[in-house]
Formats: sequence, structure tokens, C-alpha cells
Amino acid sequence: MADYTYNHGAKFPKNGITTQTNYRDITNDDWQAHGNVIMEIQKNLAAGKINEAAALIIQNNLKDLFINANDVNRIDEEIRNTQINTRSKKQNIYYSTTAPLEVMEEGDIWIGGK
Amino acid sequence: MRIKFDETSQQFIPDIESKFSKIDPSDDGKIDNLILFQDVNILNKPYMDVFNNAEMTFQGKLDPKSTTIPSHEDVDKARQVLIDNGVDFYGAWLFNLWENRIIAIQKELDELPRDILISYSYMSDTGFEIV
Repeated sequence: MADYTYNHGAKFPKNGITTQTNYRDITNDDWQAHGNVIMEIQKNLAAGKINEAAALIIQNNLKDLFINANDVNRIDEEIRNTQINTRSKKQNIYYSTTAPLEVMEEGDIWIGGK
Repeated sequence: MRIKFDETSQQFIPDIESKFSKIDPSDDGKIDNLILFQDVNILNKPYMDVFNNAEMTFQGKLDPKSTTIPSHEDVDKARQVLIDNGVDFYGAWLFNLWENRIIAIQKELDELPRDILISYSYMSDTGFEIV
């Protein structure tokens, strides 16, 4: 049975709906300010030095330029929670030994127990 | 490359007008137009050459083939070369687009009433009613 999860920062439906990312493409201003660092990050990524690249991104506040796994996981979790929520828009009947309290909504039916 | 369906010619043509999705999750009820993508093809090669070589000043610090960000002084101009010629730049903004789409769906879901099919009671003689 699919339960809502909030392990990767997903908000919906328990904690509301918010936009959290504001990614953007690199601009000339970025290039002039951080060109050497960006090249260094690319070199590290190409060489498989992921930790070094990540450290440079964080140190130079360039997170908006590089999509990271945390946000990918969060969006994936948001989509999954949305899928579960879509199903809950109709009354559900659950057959299980324990009540699936995480996903049950008022008016759902649980058949089971000991 | 972004393409769109042209009503006049009844065929898909390069979309060089809409540079970014205008989807806004706060715009209730509005469904953004679908953006169609296709891989860069041989017709785009001249523009890609411009993007990679011709008008840009390569710094010479790193092999451009090993980079995912253009290694040019003027990245705005480099991107504009692609946009002006219908060659899309698969940038980080795509992630914003997808997040906005899922948020728009969540808001719609949040407002949907719940559909109850069966009412029930703890009293055994009440039975149930199928609505």
C-alpha cells in the first residue's frame, strides 16, 4: 500500500503547496563573477570529483545554476504524493490487518483487524 | 529544438517565439500550452557551430566537448544564437517548469470535493446505501 512520504522535502498534501526552486540559466553576470569557478566545477564533474564540485557550488552560492539530486528527489516525491492524493479523491476500501491511518481519509472503509 | 503546430500550414514548424513557458501556478484555471521538444537535428548544425565556435571567444581553459555549460565569454549571446534559430537550450529552467506544473495540479486537486460512494454506520441493522 502506498503511503505519503516526506523524506525528501515534499510538502503536499500535509504541509501545503509551495514553489521551492528558482533555477536559471547562466548569464554573463554569472560568468564575469564566477567564470573560473564554473570552469573548475565543470572540470571536477568531468573528472568524477563530485564532492569537490558540490563544495564549490555551495561555497560560491551557485545552487540555482545546477540542478541537484535533492530537488530531483523532492519533485519525484511530490509527484508520487500527488498520485496518492488523486486516488484519495474517491472513497477507498482497505483490506489489511492494521488500519492504514497514514492514507485513510474521513469516510474511507477499513476491513480487517485481528 | 522547440516546435509548434501551425494552423495555417497544418504542419509542425520551429517555434522561435515562445522562449519560455509562461505557466504560473497562481494563475487559476489556466492551462499552459504544451511545449514540444525534439532532439537537435542536422538542420541545426550551422547554428550549433556558431554556438560552439565562430562568434564566441573560447577561453582555451577546457575542451568544450567535455562541458555542459558553454565555455564562452558571452553566454547570453551564445544562448540567443540558439533561441533565435529555433534550437532550444535545455537549461535549468525546465526544472522550474515541471515544478510549476505539478504545483498547478496539486492546487486543482486540493479544491476538488471528495467523492463518497458508500455511507455506513456502526449499527448493524442500518445497512448501507449506495449513492
